[in-house]
Amino acid sequence: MTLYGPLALRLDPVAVVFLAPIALIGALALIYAPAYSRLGRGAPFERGRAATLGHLATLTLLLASMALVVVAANTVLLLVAWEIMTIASWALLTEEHHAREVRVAGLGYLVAGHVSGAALAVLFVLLATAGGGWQVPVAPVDAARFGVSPVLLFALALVGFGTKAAVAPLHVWLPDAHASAPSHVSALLSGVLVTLGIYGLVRFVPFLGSDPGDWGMALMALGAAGACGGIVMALGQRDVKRALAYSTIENVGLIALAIGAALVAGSAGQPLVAALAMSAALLHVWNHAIAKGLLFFSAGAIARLVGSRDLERWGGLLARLPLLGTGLLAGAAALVGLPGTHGFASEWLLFMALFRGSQTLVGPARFVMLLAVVATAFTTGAALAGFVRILGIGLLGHPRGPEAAAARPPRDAALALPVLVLAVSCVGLVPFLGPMLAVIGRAVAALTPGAPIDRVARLASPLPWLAAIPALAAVAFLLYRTWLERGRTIRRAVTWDCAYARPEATMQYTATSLAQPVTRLLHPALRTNVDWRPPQGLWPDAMTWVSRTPERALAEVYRPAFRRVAALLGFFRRIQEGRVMVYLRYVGVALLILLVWFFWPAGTPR
Amino acid sequence: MTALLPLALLLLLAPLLPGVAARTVALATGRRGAPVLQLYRDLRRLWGKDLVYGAVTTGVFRVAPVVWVFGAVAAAAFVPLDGRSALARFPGDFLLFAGLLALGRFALTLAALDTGSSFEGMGASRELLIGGLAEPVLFLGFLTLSLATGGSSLSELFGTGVGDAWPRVGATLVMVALSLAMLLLAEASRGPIDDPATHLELTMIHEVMALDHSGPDLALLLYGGALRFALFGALLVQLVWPRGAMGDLAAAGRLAAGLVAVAALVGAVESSMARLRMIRIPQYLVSAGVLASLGALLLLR
Repeated sequence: MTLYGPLALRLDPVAVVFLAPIALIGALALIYAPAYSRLGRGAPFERGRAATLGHLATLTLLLASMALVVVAANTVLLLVAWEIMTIASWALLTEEHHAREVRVAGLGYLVAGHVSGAALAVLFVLLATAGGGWQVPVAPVDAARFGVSPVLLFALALVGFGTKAAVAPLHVWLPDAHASAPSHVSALLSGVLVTLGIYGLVRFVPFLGSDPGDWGMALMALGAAGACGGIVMALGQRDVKRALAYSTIENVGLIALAIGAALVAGSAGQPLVAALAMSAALLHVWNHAIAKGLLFFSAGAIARLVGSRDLERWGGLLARLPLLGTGLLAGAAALVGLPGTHGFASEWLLFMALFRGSQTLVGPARFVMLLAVVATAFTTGAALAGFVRILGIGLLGHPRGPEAAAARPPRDAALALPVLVLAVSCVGLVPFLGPMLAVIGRAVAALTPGAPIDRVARLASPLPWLAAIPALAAVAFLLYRTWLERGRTIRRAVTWDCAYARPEATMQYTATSLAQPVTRLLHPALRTNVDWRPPQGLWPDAMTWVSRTPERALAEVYRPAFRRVAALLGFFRRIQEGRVMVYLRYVGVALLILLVWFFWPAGTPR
Repeated sequence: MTALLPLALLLLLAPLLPGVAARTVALATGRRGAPVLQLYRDLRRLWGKDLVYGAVTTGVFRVAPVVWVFGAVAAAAFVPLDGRSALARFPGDFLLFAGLLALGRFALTLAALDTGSSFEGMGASRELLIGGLAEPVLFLGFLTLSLATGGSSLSELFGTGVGDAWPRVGATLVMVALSLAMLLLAEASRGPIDDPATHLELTMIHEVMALDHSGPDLALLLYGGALRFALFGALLVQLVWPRGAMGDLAAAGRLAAGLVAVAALVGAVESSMARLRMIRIPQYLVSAGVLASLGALLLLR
């Protein structure tokens, strides 16, 4: 027992849903980490055994704090775990701090973590004063009765949890952080840690105020913006891990949209739609954790072997690194939601919720559902393009550089195991969608009152059968191949190049040119800037063409805002003197003021 | 059993449609043109040929043609070809339909990039743009139909419910049909989006991705393309010519006649308008989407 009530733990169905990815990806990351350190150049553990142990210890601390966040039933305990989680992940993220970009990313991450922590601290205090006590809420908190504005509570929850979840527009710290962390840390950050922000949203938002429908609308709008914006930004990135990080923003957007749809439908009295949407959100948390973990594990190892995260230096890697390449392929297929992978299931649930919502809801809620269908459909289409770009440019074709051409598969079981496990589960989990949905159903029932879980399960009952798709396709392919190879000469020849005599790797389409139709179409939003020095004169020498797609929210909103705040607060820097004498003087003055206030004749203070 | 016959019909008839369209174009431009059955002959000839693979290609290139056809055939199993119910159906199967077509596109564009050819990269890039924009249009069409018929599977959206919906919400269905027709041209790589008859790599979209495929692989690619044409044609036929009280054989005849009519119409469109510039394609697809959403707005009132 403490001042803030018992520091209790609670293992309920919601916690179970969020614990599962922590356990799975966490265990695999612990296996992967030492193998990753032995890979390629610039290994992070060059400083020796002690540093290695320190790294693994910090990793374990991160896992423990994440688990504590999920099971904490007391808000103060949750906040403590939350802060430990931020610090531990920051320490892991800045492992390779000799590079400047890593330090910059680490600073951004720390600032975002503090903003999130501060907002949560205020939120928890307000909740306690509004009669909710210090326990994580399980029933609506009627804050308005205690003079606390529910809008304020929602805004605080959004900043507190949304910053960690990278809900747009609070996502700006994420691409830098996830791109420059060691890859197993990226996998944990992107696949798991981000979803703890989602955890906070589903735990708190439904219970802030009596009608969460308005919060639902807000979440849907932010989610749609993040989903569309994230995937379009991913199309503009040459850095593989950065592109994957933007895809995380996209997926978090979809999850936020689904949670929003559940809240909207729930408050409009459509429990089936709400249950479908909440199941979609929670199942997508799992699917995203598996697929994104796989993508970061395999892409990170490839980047180490090639010595670059730049797509234009990859190429021809599926032939050279079959296992890692296949891992990337499987993860991409699952994240795009192709039928036959588990990723299709959550996409299906989300669309079903939105379609049902469009049919049954009325008024603005219905209109919002219609818009959400368009946004989600655009996102899935663009995600296909984004991942075909990563796979096609990064893994296929000629090697685009000498390092890619020389890449050899690492003989390291500890590296192969996580990739293999996750790649197999992308397809292998499909027959087990029924039991998976049963586990998720219990959490959905706890989060959306009166949710008809059995109807969701009945609707989703055809999904496990979709495991037949890859099986049938494989059978068809094998039959075709055996028929093909009978009595037929199969030759290899140079790729068709209009009869040009010397095809070269540099003649291939690049990642930038592949995405060019999209980046040109969306130029008003993306502002891809191109620095082109055309060849000049009769004997042209050097020419350059460089294009970059910057993070606009960071460059145009956050940086100027932070600069303004820094200028305003600069005044207070003068008070911070640095000499003990001065500080003692402050203490004296403060004491004097308090004494005067206390003994002021006109009555004693409250 | 009644659902199997029209499915077999669709699979057999698919290679006819590009022939009909090409013949219409030829007639409209005062030529005699190739025989209507030309694609059948091409397929047979290719089926017996040897194979050549690009030097850098991997397994992706080998698997892609099979996946391309498999996706289209599997998608066909969910379309109510007999006008009532598909071979397989469940609530939300239209998402699987869209997903299977996306699977084919995923395989095809990856195979194109697998060759390391600049031409094929260009084709993949354009195909991805068209595909990315076609997806929301398709979903908007499905959404509007689901609002009009209250259904949630393709068999309900394009089955008997459509016939009942015409008197009630005819204007909406007209708009969806127009939007679907525009989408068909894009998805089947026909004019004014793509030009199946072009001989210049730089102007191709779909054709250019088949440059390095040969023999049976190329046959599969051509057949899969024709099958996509037929799939969207069948959806369109189902929408504008509901089965009503026809018998099974009459319904199958209706499907065949409808498909040929759609192909002839596509030919008429191709011969009457120039190909769109590449930067106009997004506008074209967005207007198709706007048409479908206008249909939905009429229903909301």
